[in-house]
Amino acid sequence: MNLPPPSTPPAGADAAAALALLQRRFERERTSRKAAEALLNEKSRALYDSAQAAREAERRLQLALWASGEGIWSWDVPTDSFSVDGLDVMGQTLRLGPCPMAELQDMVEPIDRDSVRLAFGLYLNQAAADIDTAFRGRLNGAQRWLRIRGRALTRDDAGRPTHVTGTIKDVTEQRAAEQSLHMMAQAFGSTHDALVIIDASDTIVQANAPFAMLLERPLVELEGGNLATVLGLEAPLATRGTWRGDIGLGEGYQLRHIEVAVTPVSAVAHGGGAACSIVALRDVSERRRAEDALHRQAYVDGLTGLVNRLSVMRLLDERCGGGSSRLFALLYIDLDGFKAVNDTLGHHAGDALLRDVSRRLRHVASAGCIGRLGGDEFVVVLPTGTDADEAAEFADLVIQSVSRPYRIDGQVVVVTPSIGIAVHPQHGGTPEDLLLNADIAMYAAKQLGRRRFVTFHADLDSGRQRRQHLQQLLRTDSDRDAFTFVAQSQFDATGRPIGGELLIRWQTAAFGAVSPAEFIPLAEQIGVIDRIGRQAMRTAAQVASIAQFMGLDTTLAVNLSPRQLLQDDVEAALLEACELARVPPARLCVELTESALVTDAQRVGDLLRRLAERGFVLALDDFGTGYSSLSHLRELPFHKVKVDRSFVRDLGGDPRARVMLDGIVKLCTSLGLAVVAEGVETRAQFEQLVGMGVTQFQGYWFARPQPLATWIESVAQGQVPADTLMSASAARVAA
Amino acid sequence: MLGMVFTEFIELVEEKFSPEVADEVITAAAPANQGAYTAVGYYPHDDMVAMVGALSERTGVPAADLLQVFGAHLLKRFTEIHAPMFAAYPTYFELVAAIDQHIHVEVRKLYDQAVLPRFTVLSRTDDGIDLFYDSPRRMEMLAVGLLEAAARHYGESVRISHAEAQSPDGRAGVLFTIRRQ
Repeated sequence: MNLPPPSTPPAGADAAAALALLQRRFERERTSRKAAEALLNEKSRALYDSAQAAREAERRLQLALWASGEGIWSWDVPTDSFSVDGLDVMGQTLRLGPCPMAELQDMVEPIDRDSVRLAFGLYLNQAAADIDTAFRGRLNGAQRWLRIRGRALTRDDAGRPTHVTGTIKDVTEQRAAEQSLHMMAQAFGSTHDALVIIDASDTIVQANAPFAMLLERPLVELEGGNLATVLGLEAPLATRGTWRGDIGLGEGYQLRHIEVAVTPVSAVAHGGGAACSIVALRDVSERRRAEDALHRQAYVDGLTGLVNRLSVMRLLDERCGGGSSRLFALLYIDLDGFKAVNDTLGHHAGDALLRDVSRRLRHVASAGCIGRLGGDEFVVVLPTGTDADEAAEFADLVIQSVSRPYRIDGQVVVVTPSIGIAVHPQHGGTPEDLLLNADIAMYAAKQLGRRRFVTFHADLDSGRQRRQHLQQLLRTDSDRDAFTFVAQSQFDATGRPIGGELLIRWQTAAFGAVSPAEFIPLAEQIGVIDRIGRQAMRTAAQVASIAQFMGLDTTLAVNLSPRQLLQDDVEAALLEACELARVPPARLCVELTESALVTDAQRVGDLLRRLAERGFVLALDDFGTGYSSLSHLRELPFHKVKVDRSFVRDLGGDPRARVMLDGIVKLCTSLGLAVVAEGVETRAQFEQLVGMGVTQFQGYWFARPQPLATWIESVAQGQVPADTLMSASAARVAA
Repeated sequence: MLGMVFTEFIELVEEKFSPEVADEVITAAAPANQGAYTAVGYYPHDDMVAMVGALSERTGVPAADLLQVFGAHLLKRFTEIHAPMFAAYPTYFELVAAIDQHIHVEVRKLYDQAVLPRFTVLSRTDDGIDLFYDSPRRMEMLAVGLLEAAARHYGESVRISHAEAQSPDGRAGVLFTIRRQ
């Protein structure tokens, strides 16, 4: 196709038109030039900005690589030129290559070479979208874990990468951290402790199975919840920082004590953002119960549930602390007759009685602190402000309450309290003084006849001083065998003397004659009773020996205390005494009370059987007041039973005492036991006793205790018409 | 539309007709810039349609023919300005096959805002090629002029036919069938 020829300029066109055309063309050219210049400027600026942006992007990339510790690698496949730049290994920036790929592979530890080759091979053959592999390499002589990632920059027509580039990073620390994290995760999952990870707003990010077990709820229900709410706490946990404390979970008897430890962990971040806290929870209910039990053991009396001596002392320490002059009173309570209950009904009954007494004390003394000091001794520390008068009123209440009969194991039991009152600060400024003085007052109450209270006063202290003094004297006098003995005769129904009981006497310079009732318990307390007992045995054997020598038909009784009967050598001591005095055991009667059988009935029973076999006469003393066990009478080899003097005393007035005594006598007689009545003071008593069938008698109506020589003489007189033997025997005793 | 197309068009009209005709065409088309085009700018496509229309009216030559001539002129200019590019494609068919994937990629490096037609190769043999032309401006006759001139540049004798068609993915356009003769 051809265009029509250009039209020729109109002939005769005026020069003005041509000029106007030229001017328009010129104007267009100038305008377009300016437009082009403006565009050029604009392009230049854009180019500059773009170059700047590229430089900035490059700088940022370098910075990012530096910050991430990553280096750049590049591999030109056709020329097999591999290079690494900017790889940070232990703070040192490495540059490798350019070198063939094979050289890089030499750097890879043999164990990982195949996997690296595979990663590159898969990528080159387009079987993998990119290269991403980690391997162990040897760099600067050390083994490091490296991660290499990359993609093609250019590809050939078949799509195969021709230039591959990417990043390389030393991930040794990261792998170690990952492994450590892995181990931590395993520990988290397998520990028996309940662990929870919470975020800053207490949301449970993760929790382990023991946590679900602790709360008895499924894990899925707990995760995502608010831990403080789940635990029923008002204040959030995450904001407490490092915190440890105890909380209660559940209510009533299902209440459990949970120990909670919150540890903020900045290293473990959740969702790439806020710091987390690890919360460890442990059910310490068992431990708390054990601690409570220990506390109770330490401060509470196990039998009665009252506080124990330690607690009482703490309270008193507190009340008396710092020389305080706070007014308050305390009651020292001892049960009268408790020992008898223990002896007769056994420890089980004794314990039950103590519990019952404790209940009554609690009832009447709810305002005070009631403690059991041990045995049958109680103390009531009355509230601050209690004076002696109020304490006395209170003591009256205690007496009324505690003295009411108890029913123990189906039996009615009566015990009474003896109470000592001491008031702080007038009766003592320290816990020890207060308790001691209350004890002294209690002792005085007992001395005054029991079932009463005594408020401490200075005179009472002299009683304590007397006891202390007596104890000192006992020690020295037992060493010196300074005790003397008398004997009281025993008679048959015809009034003929048939034997006697050896009785101890103690004469002191300071106090004059001291009653055995006072000093024997003291001697038992300080442990000199054995020595005194031996002296008694030897004396009895000697006296019996003389009586035998004189041809008298008599036995002499010697008392053994419960404590003596538990000594290993009591049998040997008795035999030795007989041997020394050259007297057969049958001439000695061993008297013991039933309380001796309570502590170790088996052992004492065995001892009695051996003594019986040796020929000793055995008598059960004070029968009818304590245990009064018929089985003892049946099973143990007693020859005599001495009924308690109280029966004889009450014969005249109390018909029931007579009935009981009658029964005892009949029973003993039918068992073949001789019955001895003690404390016979009148003819009437004697006649009544004879009427009942009692065959042996002891008492003032017959004879008072006599010096030993006199006693032998009286027996001899009673048994044998006076003859020459009498004077001979008297002479021997005197010698 | 690239400014170069306008400057070349005006040069062509001045050369083939006269500066006066070019001036009249510009005056008649009354573009916003009053015909002050620069090769590196971008201008409304409607300016070109108006100018071709004005030229056609003034000369009595159909617009399609004018565009075909203009296409040939443009190709000649391209061979002068971008000789290395033509050297890179040893044969005519290789050049044609590379319009979309290579040549237009290079064009965009220079003129990043250029709106270019798409030439999709539908099939290609040693002696022919089927191209699907797809442009919002529908200046297929300009393309015909370009393709014919390119063939002449390579010394190829080809027959180029074109027809309305739809691409395999449903776009409306023009199918160029180029066959060696």
